[in-house]
Amino acid sequence: MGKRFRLKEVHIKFLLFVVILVVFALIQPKVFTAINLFSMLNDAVFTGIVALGMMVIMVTGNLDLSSTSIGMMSGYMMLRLFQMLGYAGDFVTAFIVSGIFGALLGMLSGYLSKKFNLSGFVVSIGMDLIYSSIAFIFIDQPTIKTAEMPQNLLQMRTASLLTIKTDTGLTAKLNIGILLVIIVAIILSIFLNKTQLGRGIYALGGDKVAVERVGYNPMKLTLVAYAVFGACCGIAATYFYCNTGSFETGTITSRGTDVITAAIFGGCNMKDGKGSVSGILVGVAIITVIKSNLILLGVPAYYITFVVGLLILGGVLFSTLAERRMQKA
Amino acid sequence: MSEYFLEIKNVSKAFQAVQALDHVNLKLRPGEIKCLAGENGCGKSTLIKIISGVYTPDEGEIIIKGKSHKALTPTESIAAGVQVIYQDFSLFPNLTVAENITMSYNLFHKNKAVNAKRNREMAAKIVEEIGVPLNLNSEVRTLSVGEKQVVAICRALLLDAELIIMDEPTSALTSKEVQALYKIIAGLKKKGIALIFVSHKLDEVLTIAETLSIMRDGKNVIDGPKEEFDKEKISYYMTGREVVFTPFQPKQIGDVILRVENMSLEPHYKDISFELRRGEVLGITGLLGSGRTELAESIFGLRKMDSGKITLFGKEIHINGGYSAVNAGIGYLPEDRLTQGLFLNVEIERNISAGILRKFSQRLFGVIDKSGMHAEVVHRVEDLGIKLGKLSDPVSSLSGGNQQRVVLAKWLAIHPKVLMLNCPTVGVDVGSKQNIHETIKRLANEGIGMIVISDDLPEILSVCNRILVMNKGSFTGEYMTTQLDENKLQSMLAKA
Amino acid sequence: MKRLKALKGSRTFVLIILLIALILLVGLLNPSKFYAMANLQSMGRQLSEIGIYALAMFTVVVSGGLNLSIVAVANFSAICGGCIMQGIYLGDIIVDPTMRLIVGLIVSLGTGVLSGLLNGYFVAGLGLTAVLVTSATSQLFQGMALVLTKGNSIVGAPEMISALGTQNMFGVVPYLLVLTIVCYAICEFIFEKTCFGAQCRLLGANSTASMYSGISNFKTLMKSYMLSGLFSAIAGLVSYSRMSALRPDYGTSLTNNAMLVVLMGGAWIVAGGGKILNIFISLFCIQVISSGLTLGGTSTYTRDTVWGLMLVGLLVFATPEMKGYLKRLFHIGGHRDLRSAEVRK
Repeated sequence: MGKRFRLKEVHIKFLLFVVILVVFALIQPKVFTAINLFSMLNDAVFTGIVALGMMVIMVTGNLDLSSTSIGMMSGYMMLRLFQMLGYAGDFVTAFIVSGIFGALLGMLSGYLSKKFNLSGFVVSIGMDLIYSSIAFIFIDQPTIKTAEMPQNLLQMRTASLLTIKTDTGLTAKLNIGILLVIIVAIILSIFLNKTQLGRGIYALGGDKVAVERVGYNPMKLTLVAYAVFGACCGIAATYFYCNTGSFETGTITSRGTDVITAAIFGGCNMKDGKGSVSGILVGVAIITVIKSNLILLGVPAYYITFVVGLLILGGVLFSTLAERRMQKA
Repeated sequence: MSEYFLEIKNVSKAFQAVQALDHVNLKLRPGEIKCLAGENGCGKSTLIKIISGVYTPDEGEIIIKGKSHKALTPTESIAAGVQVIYQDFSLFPNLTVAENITMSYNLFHKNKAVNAKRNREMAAKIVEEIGVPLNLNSEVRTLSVGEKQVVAICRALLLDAELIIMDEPTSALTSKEVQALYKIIAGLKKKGIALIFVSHKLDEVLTIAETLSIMRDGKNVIDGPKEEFDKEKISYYMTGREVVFTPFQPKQIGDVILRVENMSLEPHYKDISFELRRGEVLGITGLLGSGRTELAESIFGLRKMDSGKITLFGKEIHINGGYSAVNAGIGYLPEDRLTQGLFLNVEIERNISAGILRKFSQRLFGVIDKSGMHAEVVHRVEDLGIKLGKLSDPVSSLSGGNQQRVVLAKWLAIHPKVLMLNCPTVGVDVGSKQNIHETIKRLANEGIGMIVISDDLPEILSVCNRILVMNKGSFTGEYMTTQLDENKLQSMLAKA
Repeated sequence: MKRLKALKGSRTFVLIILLIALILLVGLLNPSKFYAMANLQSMGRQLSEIGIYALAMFTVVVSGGLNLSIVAVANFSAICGGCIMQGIYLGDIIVDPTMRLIVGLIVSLGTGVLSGLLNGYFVAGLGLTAVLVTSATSQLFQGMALVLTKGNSIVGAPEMISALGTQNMFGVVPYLLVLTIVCYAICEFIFEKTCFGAQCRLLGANSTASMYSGISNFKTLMKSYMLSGLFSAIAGLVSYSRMSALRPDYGTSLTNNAMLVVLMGGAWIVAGGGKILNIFISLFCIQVISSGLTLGGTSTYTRDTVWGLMLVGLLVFATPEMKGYLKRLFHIGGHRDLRSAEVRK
């Protein structure tokens, strides 16, 4: 009974995504070109990876606003480390190292909120300030110019999964970033559904007290959830910086708001401990399709924040009301 | 090998100044069904927590299957075959039935990977043995309370429990579910699984238990086979005094204050009609699940009703929220004073004046007339004899009985025309109970319409002059108290 | 004397000591600059901004919620009002500068109150989580501000407004500081003396019990969001008066500072608690720290780290767990809590 309901919700949302895409394409045919579609997918990478990580902590009933600063710090530490070692870098190691840094930072946040029984959200506001700045206090030039970046990592910009030459003579490239999202999604799906530890995270979101009675260690579960979240932030940030080709503090911050919106659209429910990988992917798809195409549709740049605000509000309304209707049913 | 599965010898436990357990003893045979009875605060929960390893005793020993322990950890307790089913069942509403049932098992056997198929098979087997049909793939959140309890029991059985401890197992069940539970318990006994259930419901105690162990103030009072007890004896041992009823004789019964016509709310109650007259104390009683609390909440406006008419002093009223109920003159003392009735960290004075803030701030800008309000609060405290340190102390510093009097004081200050009280003396000491009962009768004589909702039959019989019995959402009978005694009333409750 | 004794050990006492210590410390490190009148006046103006935002946050926190949209509402309402004051909107209809000023003020404050209605409707009426709702409305109002200004700043302010922001009463006390003190006095009045204030605190302490006591949670919560919106609008005017410019994206860190002030004043720790006086003193503490950091020539990074550490530190050190740990560490309080010791075994 329960599983049928959830599948239905995800299906409806996927349909919504398709509908939006079609409507946009009708208004503006350029939406449906390879270049634009690939561009959309590329846009979705950062949001997608972080949203997947965010879902894991939202399931346990926590919200965290420090995703971009965790990313910033882990990315920076990885880049500097490679620089110091004189290592030109390779993708796998970069992701692993920044993932580990991110996991450690995430665990710190999680530890503080669990140990002292604080709202994860409020703690994250403080940690956001700390993570985005503490590393740079004693450093004069907290930027890494393109020339100083581990050179192999710069290939992220050009590495493509699919290259298509369009009729207009332009080349459309689908960046391998999307592969990264798929890999993370698969790993998380296996972790959350097929390991007892993963189920424990859902259990923590279901009933904080019962989780201990049944035999789990709630602190361990919290730390694992936050480690996953932090790792995702680190990996996503590495992708971001390598794609951008340089590191500067503050460039990553604006990408933070989309993550929560995507998670809410994706049916993540903090109160009930609900959330699924497929839901998140659909949520990210919806947010990306709307945001990425606004400019193409002729919406002026300064309208975008307003539209996003409407979206989040609508998303929260829709999710909550839909849930209540389903509970009554 | 001892003949006993579990032996508690001379166990004591103190929390700061309170001696929760005082040299307590208990013996349990394999497969035995024992009821641990006693009033709130007698020490039964503490004893349970010691057996399950949550607390460690200050002295004494716990002997399970012949092996003596000075203290147990929860894991050791589980390994020894002891499983506790708490009142809230400790289930995960967002996970499936199969997953909930097999979770403890998987954790205990340190299974890292999830094998959904095997989980379903294990769960199906246990559920079949219990004999209650359950959809293994439903999320537990969608189940009824009785079904949730079955899931909790299945989970315990999967861990090869040899002793299952149930804490107030029927407090949230409908009568049908209670019958189903009795059958399950009989089935458990056949498997040789011992059961300790904690209860203060006398009828259940005598139906299910084989032996009784009654406690009071942290000490054993008496232990023995069920045949040696009857309700009066159990009550006497639990409370330490003879229960004497002085049924309420109203001074004068006047006009109708409140009239309720054809109130319905699916699925809680249907077609409820009654009248409340001046000078009466009307009792509404029934087993849990009868809809009595939901009915009261609807009259107070905290719950919508599908249909129905409420008339106060002849005029129809429409209520949508506690705010409008108070405006109309209806008051409600809720069941759970800790979460619903009191502001725990707030001063006693503010707790008592919480409902009259508006009344005392008619001045410009809504300024509160502090001296006027203070006088009213002091008057109420004296009136009800509330024992406190300072009015500025937090209400959490008071005893249960005094806390309940604070909630009552709040309502008296509001001067409602009708006051409904839901389980007014639960968890309250004898002296406060007496005081509250006397206050209820006095208020009725003063002309306030009083309705008492309770499943404490002696309370209903001594405070009310007229009793309405509710069963599964409908009134099944109306009686004058003088026509009844406890046994008669007891049998009415179970009648459909 | 008795009242002074009662003061000891209370939060107010600790905060006063802290403030004095901070003033001495910062003054020690920057003697010439800190104690200069110009600096003190400048601090008075800065703290006015944070101070009013803190009130906007407090009115919602005390009734159990959170308002993350205070800055966005401030900017938006200031832009609405400011554009009328400048004649950019309705410039042909309202020509007289004084009329423009008055109408602009009304519109500004009215927008703030309306924003409160919006927030209140979603949180109190529909029962949605305050964090998510105010996060969303924050985006919404910032978005509307960007749309109105097309992303640019609008420079210029009427004389009265810029005088408010830059001049001093009797040549000494900044007008803004006076405004702040007046606002805090009003809040003290509201939350200590009126029915609404008392009901807010009860709602924050236990929203279930307040429902069961005949208090209208909906009305109380709505009013507290509307009051928050009003103070946000006032804060927006304060910023306008200081900068003589309207910026749609101003002050993103002010939400954090407001939360810090409210936290330090004790509002979060005890649900429904928090004395206005304590918040007022905390405001001065935060301002002194902020000035100290600026005068010391620290970078944004250092400052952010300090604020972050303070926020987390205040949260952690206020919890009973930490208090218990500290007490045991320093052997304060002879009576050990046996129960918690037992459960931990």
